[in-house]
Amino acid sequence: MIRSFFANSLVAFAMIAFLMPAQAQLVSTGDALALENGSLQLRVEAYLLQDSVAAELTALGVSHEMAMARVANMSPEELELIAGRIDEMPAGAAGVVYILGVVFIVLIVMHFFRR
Amino acid sequence: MSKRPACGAAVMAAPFLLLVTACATLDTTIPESWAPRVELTETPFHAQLEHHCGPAALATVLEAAGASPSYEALVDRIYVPGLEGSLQVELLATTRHYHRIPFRVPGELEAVLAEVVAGRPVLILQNLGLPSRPIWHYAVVIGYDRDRGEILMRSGEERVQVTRLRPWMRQWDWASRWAMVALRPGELPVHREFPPIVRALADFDDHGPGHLRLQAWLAVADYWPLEALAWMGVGNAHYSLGALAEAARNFETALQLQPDHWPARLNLAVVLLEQDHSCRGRDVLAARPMASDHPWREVLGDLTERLERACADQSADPVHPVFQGSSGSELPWLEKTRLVCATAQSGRRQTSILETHSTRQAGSVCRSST
Repeated sequence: MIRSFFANSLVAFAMIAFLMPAQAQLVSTGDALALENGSLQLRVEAYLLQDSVAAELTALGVSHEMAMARVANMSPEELELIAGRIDEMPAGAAGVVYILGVVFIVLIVMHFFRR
Repeated sequence: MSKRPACGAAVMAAPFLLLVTACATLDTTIPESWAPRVELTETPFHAQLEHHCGPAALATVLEAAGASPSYEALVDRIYVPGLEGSLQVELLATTRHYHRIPFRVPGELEAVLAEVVAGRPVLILQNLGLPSRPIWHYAVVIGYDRDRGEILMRSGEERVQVTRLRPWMRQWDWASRWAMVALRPGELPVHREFPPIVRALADFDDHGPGHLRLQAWLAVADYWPLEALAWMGVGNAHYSLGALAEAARNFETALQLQPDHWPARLNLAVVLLEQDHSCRGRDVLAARPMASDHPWREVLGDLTERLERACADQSADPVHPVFQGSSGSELPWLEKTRLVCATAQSGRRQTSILETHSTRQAGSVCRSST
């Protein structure tokens, strides 16, 4: 992942905004866990990934509105996990003939493996 | 031969696939002590349309947990047209959207079936192809037959799909043994390990409504009463419901268990600030030094400053020493406040307190302790 100076400043800014709200605010259980794991920084960065993950989903045919609603439900770890990787998906889009062919081969292979 | 509509997309599976297949032993033992056959016949069924095995499987487990999402709404939430499938991450996120908590099930057959024995259908990912040519598919395990060596599932267009144990195990193994249950807040999975469970609850905290968060954390605190984080979770949920006195008590419990639990300490101080007990809040923060390289030093400094300001304001008020005095007391401070309030509410003393205090202060103190 490329981390420019700008990105780092942004993260630093977000970190401050995130951890020092104008109104006193409770530390969330997620922050408490991140503190224990030493992953506070990652957690802040992951929030910034929402837009890019939503953009990836939109590029794959999800409406922009729904994409935003979908990423809003993802945890920072989940965002981190899929950001930039959605289109590396293993092919779930194979045609029916292809699927039946592969399933057939697999069944034959299993037949021989099964004692 | 059963027809198996393939679908799905699995971003999490790929990186771990080689690792798992390299060292996996396909243990298909079902404990002898269990019933020879289990089938959760009440589990709902949604025949999958097109590539919608994700929505169909998720609808099944959500409905089994008492939620009622529409199939179409789930397609909108988790289907990715460009992938002709659904992502595991979105199944987890959408479970939370419907106010159920997704827990990952450990990658052992026994762990999956233990949930089934406990009455919970288990959503799994399968690879119906080959490791190098995966065909991803989501299905829901609803039972087993030990003597026949079979797994029973709601899958694709089949209400009950019967698969022999070994091929089932391989298909699951080739999908990195991914499995999850969707539970009502307050329920815990059969396999109870603290870190993954609090992780799941912390993720639920970000979006779940307060009363459900409270149920969930109370169950955790009940099972792990010596874990500070569990009580902090209960406290945060109480706070979100406006129950400040309970929240303060929960944070105090957390601190008794683990005095260096800074999240609980900071949260206790915030609650005390909101309860107009700033001097006590200041003392709570000052009671323990924070490491100089702690990432929350600034937060601590900011909060301390606010508490000190508020405390000084309160001290300037001639009435406040009554309440301030209790902060240095040996008695649990909150109980003492409650005492003052109880007295205040029973008749004459109330008048005198309201005469001497500003109405706002008296009101907030009494509210916070009832």
